[in-house]
Amino acid sequence: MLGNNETILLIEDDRVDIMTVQRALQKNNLSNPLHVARTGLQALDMLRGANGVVKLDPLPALILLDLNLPKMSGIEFLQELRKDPQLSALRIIVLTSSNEPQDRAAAFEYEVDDYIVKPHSFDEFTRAVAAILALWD
Amino acid sequence: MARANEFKHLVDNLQAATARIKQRLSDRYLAKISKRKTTEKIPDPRSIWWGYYPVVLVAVMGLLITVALFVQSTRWEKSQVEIAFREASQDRILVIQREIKHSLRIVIDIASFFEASEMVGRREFRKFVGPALKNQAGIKSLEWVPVVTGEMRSHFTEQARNSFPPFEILERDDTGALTKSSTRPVYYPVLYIQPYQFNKQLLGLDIGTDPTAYSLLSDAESSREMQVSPGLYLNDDGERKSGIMVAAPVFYKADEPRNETPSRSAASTRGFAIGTFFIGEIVERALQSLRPAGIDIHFYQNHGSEVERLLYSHRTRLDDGSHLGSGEESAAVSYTQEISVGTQKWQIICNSALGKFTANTWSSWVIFFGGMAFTLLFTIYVATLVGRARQVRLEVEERTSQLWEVVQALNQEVVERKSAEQQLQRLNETLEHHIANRTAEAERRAQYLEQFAYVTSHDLKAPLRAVSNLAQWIEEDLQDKLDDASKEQLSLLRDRVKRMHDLIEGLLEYSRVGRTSAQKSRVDCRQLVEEIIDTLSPAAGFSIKVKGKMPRLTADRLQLGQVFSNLIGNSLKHHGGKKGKIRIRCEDSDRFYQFSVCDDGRGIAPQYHQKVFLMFQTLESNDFESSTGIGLALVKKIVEEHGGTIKLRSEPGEGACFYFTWPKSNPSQQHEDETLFQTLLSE
Repeated sequence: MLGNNETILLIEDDRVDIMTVQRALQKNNLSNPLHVARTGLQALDMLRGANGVVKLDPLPALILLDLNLPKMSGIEFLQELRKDPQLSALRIIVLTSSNEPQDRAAAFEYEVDDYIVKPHSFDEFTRAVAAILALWD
Repeated sequence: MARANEFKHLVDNLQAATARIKQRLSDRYLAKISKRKTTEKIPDPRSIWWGYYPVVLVAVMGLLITVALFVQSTRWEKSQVEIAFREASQDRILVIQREIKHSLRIVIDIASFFEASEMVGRREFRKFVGPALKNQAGIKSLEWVPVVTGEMRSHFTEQARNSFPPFEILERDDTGALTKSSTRPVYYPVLYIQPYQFNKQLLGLDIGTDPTAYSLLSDAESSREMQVSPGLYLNDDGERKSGIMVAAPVFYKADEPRNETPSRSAASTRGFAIGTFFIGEIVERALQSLRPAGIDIHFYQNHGSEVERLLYSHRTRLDDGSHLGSGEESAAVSYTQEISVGTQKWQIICNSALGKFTANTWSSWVIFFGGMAFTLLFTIYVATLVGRARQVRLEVEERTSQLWEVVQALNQEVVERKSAEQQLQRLNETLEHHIANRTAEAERRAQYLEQFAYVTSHDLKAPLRAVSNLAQWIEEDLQDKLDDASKEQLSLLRDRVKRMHDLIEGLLEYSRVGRTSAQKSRVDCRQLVEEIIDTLSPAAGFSIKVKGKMPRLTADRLQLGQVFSNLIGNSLKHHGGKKGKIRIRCEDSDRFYQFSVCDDGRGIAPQYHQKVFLMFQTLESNDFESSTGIGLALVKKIVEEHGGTIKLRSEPGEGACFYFTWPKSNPSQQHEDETLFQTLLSE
């Protein structure tokens, strides 16, 4: 289980998807602080405390990453993240609507911890989040 | 298919071009042949006649040789004739000479007779000359003429009258009549004359009064030898005949030493033996001994006028008398010889009579015409040879030129074929280029489509999901406040969103076929189908069974499974009944397996058999079932992508059977393209 105080960083540009994650956590009675970055760049800034953005401290225990992002895609974000030694150890779960094999393959290139296709129904999604977090460590 | 059609079109163009080239070639060749036929009739005129110079040479040589032979032969024949003629003429002249000599001999004999006897009486004289007169021809008269001086005239006349009483010395007066001779210093009276019968009027005639006779006598006296007179005209029975007088002097024996001077010779001359001869008769007599040969003989003396010169002309006895005259001009050959008659010189000209002693030129003419004929034949032969040689040469030339033209045509053809080949090569290259372009274009489009599908899937799915989630949240959040109608509507909303999501997923799946690299593995079809049946979890009352043998093959497991899944799912979905049977079978054909999925449902009318494989085509309303209209289209696409075919057999109310084939060794699309290309090329 994820510790109560451990933070989660959600990198997602779609407001409804953000709401979906928030509601799913709520439904599963998880009160962990959720930080949201709307783009990959913004997420990097938040993780590094660069460009006048307050650094997340402590670093999030888990990053939920969408692949289809404006300006910097999820794969590009992974690339940058893994290059940074201070950030390279972060746990990442890809949360995407793409079921394409090449996307899946590209994500696992950067040693993501899991790859979840966003289910169509919210209930399914809630169950998926529960499953992930239940399996945590 | 579009690629293949385009390719076929190009190849058709190519074939048409080749056919056009062939047609053009054959046309040109025909034109050449027809042109040659017209030109071959006008060869170079110079070369024609130049070839005939051996013929001309042969003809000229033949003519020259023939003419030379002819001339030679003619000459030879002529000379032969001339020789014969000369010999004959010489024979005649010899005979005539001998005869004349005999005649002259008589006169000399008479003279000798008088020299031998002191006294010769009239009787003795007659007896002596008798044999000669009998044997010798042409004698007009033989006389004894004593020399009588003036003082002895009376004595002489007396003595003469003893034997011939009416004797008197006579002379001719101006009228030609005989009268008694006037007184002269010397008389030359004819004392004896024989034959007396024809010459009696001359007896006693002083022939010294005749100038011709006198000069003859004086010549004989001075030379003391026999003298022959020039030609005379003698009267013989009124006929004038040419003749000669011959006088031989007789001297007194005792006086001989004294007769040294001419003045004294007259005194010592006793007399003269005189003979008068007809030349013609002598000649004719002489020639009687020879066979007539057709020679005219003319006798000429060396002085006097032209008319006086001719002594006698002997006409050949062969002459029919129609050709008179000297005939000298017309004579073909003539021979001239001079002979001496006593003291006279005669010229004898022998002429061949007309038609005699003409050269027998027929053998020459035989030679001539033979030579001519031979030359002509030989010339013709040579001309034929030359003509044949020429013909052969012309033919060879013509054939050579024909051959040359053919070679040219062939060369041309080779060139054109080469260019055609090059054109073909270019077209091929263009074709390959086109194909490459098209392939690239197709790949580009496929990529674009992929991109499109990919983007679509994400960009459409995200808002759908959002709508679905939002609808659910509204329902959750307003659970107490919403009436049943609103709840129903929210449920419908979510249902439609779900349907749209399925459509998009289907599309994505459809587009994914063929662009994902095939994952080949050994597939146990029975196992595969059974797994799928499990997954589909059919409603109770439906039995799905695999009938017969199912093969193991190497294939893309996911896609083959998708085909079975979609077909079985389709049968379940559209069966239309609560209970049903679905049977899966496989037949082993030579190169592929034919699988079938059959149900006993309501079936599909034949007019929809094609339509069911089209995208988004469903045969029922959207409300009835959650059918996307993608399943069968996807099946068809997968089967065809793997080189197989699919067909449907169904009648309304009698169930439906889907048959699809799956190749045993799945040929790659690339290989298939190559095969098509080769096939088209070989056409």
